[in-house]
Amino acid sequence: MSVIVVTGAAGQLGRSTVQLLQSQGMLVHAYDRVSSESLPFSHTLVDLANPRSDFYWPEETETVLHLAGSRDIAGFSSAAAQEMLDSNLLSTATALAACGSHVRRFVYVSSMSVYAADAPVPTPESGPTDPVSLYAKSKWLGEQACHVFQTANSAFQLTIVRLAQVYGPGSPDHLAIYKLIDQALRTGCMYLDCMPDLKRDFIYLDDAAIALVYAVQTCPSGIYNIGGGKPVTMQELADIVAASVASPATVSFGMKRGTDRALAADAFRTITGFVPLISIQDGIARDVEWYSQKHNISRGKE
Amino acid sequence: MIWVITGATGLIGRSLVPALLGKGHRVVALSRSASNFYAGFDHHRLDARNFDLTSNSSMGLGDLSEDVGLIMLASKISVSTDLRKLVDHMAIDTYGHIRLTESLRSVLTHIIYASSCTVYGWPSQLPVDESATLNPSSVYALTKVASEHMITSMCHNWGISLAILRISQLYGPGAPLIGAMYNFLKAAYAGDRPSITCNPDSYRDYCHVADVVRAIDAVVLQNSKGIYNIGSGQPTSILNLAKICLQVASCNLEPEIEPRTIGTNMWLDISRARNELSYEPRIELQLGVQMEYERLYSNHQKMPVQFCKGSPEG
Repeated sequence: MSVIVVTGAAGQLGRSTVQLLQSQGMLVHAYDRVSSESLPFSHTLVDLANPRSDFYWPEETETVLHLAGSRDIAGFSSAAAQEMLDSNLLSTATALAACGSHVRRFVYVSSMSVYAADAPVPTPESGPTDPVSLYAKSKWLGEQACHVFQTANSAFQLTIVRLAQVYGPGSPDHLAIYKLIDQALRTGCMYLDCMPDLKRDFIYLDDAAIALVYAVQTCPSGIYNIGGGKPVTMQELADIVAASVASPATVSFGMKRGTDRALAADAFRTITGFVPLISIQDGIARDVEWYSQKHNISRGKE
Repeated sequence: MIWVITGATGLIGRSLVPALLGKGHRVVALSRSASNFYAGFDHHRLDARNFDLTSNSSMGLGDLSEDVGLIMLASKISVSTDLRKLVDHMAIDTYGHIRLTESLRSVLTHIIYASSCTVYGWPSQLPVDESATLNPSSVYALTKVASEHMITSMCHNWGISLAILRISQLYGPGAPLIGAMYNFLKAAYAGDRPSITCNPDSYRDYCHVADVVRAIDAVVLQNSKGIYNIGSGQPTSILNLAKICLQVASCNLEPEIEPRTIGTNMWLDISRARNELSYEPRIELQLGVQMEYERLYSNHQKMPVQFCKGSPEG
């Protein structure tokens, strides 16, 4: 029976995706560089940035879903640069080389941050790329590693998916959604250091996992955007958060100009039929619940 | 101002070091074998130090206290597409240079990074200018792209001015004796017909190392910033290259043409370097190939660099 290899399986998106693949009756080999006792499936430890030189995926592997990577690190330091390159470029190079000549399909999970700041919004796959942050650069370099491997192995089927910002349980607190939820719950005064009309594209964790299962099962070679369906402005985001907490909340904004980010995901929808199921309203309502439990904050008035 | 050069005994470095000294600059020459290589070259403005960019220990350059310019030449050269080798390439070219930059951060004002035309891949539009999409197709090219990106980020964040030179196919004293030109010269010297195994009309951009040294010298002089293509300015077909090699060897044979591949083309648009650096390639291919032939196969070796002792790195 053919096997799906999933890297980064202990991560936020990895664990959801592995469980979903298993529920579809697929045989999954899960890999991660860290062990996690809370995982409901077994996984193999491997550090793809420092692998054994003879490391290959199992013989029966049909597809590798390469999710392993590091999240964005704020600011710049040489240590941050090396961490990003280790986990987003070198680990991808290893994951590709470990395909040898026996693994024919590879799905690389990239990010919408690889697009240029002046790309049209919503951005189609043909939009210009010009990554700025260390994270975006390292994810884009991972894409280039995929192209190098494909150039040398013409029969190799390569799918690159560029994901919108994933949110949901397990997300880091520094995302705008959680800053807003935290402030709304604790003080009722929300503040974001950006303009209110800044646009972002969010996709809920469960939807992102479903999209990746589609990508593994049906997606042909090529580059595909996976978005949340409907970009929101920071003002809209704050209004939705305000409506989701039991107590009244106000919002104010700074003057920082950000880059609008939203994906045109029509190609992926046409090919796979994938439509996000969880609206931003539903997702935030769930996350208020999750976040308040995680930080032990009362959802009502203090 | 003092100029620190990594890869100082390599193809570009061994010509650049004396050129900068000749212009009155002070130079710290770094490489794994620098002190032996430059042992016979006693110059009061040269400080040659053995140095391993991949070493995790202290970079040992803490004694530099004035303004420093850093010229990054060290790199591992290959045409491999084996991604397992990426880590070794990046250890020198990317991680080594990142760590060195950080260790010199307080005194560093300029960086010149030697990149490669391979970052463009094989573009369909030629000549290719600096705004073209990067499309690396080898581990070496991918490393160059990664280094360009990371060094750009560093310089942006730390207020260091940066010039990136994307250099076309280099030849000259110290070049590894691989590739079409050196194969053709070897055949012509032996009285054999040079063998062309790709489309004979496919073309490349061959640039003599002395021209690259002149370009770096211009960047040093003008403190230029930005990305510059550095090449010969003109394409040379493989067939024409073979004929030139035969001619300089005074060999009356014709090349043997057995095209097994369609071949790939490269030709850099050097307008920006011409306009902003006043860069003009001076060594025409005919002359450059003749110098290489005499260097390699004549009894009266004309060494453009007189003091070449020891062995080159890599």
